[in-house]
Amino acid sequence: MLESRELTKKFGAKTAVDNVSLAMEPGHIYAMLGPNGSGKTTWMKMAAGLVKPTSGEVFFNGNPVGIESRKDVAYMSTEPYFYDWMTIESAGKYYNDFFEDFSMETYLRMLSDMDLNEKDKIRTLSSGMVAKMKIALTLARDAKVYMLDEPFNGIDLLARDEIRAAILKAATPEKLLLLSSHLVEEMEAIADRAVFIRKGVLIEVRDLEEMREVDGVSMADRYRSIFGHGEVQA
Amino acid sequence: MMKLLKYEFRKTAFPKLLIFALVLIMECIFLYGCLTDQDDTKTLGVILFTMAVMFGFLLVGILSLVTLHKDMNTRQGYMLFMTPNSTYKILGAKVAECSLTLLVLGAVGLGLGALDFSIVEKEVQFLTSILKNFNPDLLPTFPNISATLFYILCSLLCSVITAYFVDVISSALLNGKKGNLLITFVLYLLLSYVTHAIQGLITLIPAIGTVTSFLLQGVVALVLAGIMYVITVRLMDRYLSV
Repeated sequence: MLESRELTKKFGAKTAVDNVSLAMEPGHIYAMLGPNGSGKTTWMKMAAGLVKPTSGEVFFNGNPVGIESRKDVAYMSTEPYFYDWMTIESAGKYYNDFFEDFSMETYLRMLSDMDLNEKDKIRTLSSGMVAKMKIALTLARDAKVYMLDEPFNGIDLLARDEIRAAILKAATPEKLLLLSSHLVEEMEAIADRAVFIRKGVLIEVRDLEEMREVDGVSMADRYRSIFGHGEVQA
Repeated sequence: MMKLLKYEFRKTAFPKLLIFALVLIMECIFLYGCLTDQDDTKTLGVILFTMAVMFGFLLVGILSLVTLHKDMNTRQGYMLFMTPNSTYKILGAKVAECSLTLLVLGAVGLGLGALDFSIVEKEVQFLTSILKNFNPDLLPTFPNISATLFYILCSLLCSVITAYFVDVISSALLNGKKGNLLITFVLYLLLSYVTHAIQGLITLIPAIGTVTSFLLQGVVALVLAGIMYVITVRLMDRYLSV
């Protein structure tokens, strides 16, 4: 469904994503894991069509990502990206205007569940409230792929619970969810597959259940073994 | 396209309202001078009104450029480039928004200008008779003013799209490179010089009237703007990362 082939992105002399070939299938929640600067965000932005690769390509359902894929791929950036004048409600109207799969009803229900007031200006919200609003905005789309970059960044435990619940509710057999986070334990409770990426290089993609059964290690253990000592262990 | 246009208008609604308010305030100064029969106030009103319209034209162009620059270089660009719209539509909405605002401002300027002229027509008759003998093309007749305004609007639009083009080169190709600002500025000056030189070729046509010359120069500006628009879109599609 979502696939990158020999994908590379360079920023000047720095290689953010290095020759990454990766295929992801619907019906799974993928956790993209790696330390800061490992290329997770850049990979997602290329998959969302926001950043142009230096070489290689990203495909959605066999076609290069572009205008058509944006109809089915919902991307949530970790940074706030709303216009200064927007309220929570007008951000919903904006999505409603541009995305056919967006449901204003679902959005308003999620806002209510998350205790957010739709009349509030986004620029006056705390980072936790913005994080919840972004989740509601993204998950109110009936997209085929959801890419959530650092959805748990800078938010308290209760808000995390709400976001986790919203993410799990969106996960169905037809959908693909890709999440990136530094909070490995948090991700372990949600994801069923893990993509380990370091310094722009894809280390491995693992089925978490299989990893627990075969290797007898958790995702957090594997994370430590890959990133903890600078050496990748088999 | 209409939805994109709606949000383009929304992005700069406040400063644009200020421009129109400023033009109306200047017009009120002129009308106050007419009502109280104060020549100095009338003269001041006309000068300020003309300056406000001209300043408004310039500001609309600058606002349009600043909005594009923000869309390409800040996170708010995600709002635009995440949507399933082609770059032709995205940039087209920006061009349409700028053109429509310029047109409305031009229409307001022309309409109020015509009203002002009709009020003081008798008082400036001496001026029009001098112009009539000196150069009839400079008379403030409807064809002369319309052709001049058309020329100004088209040239301004061409300048705005030239600026778009240069800004896209700066953001997509030269971003983070040494001398980006200087190269961008020099490129803009160079392209502006070339477009004006091409427009100026019209004046070399023998026995061409001022009105026809202005109209043709406006059309040339539109054609050049169209060419630069297509190149700009292709550059964005190929190289722009937001």
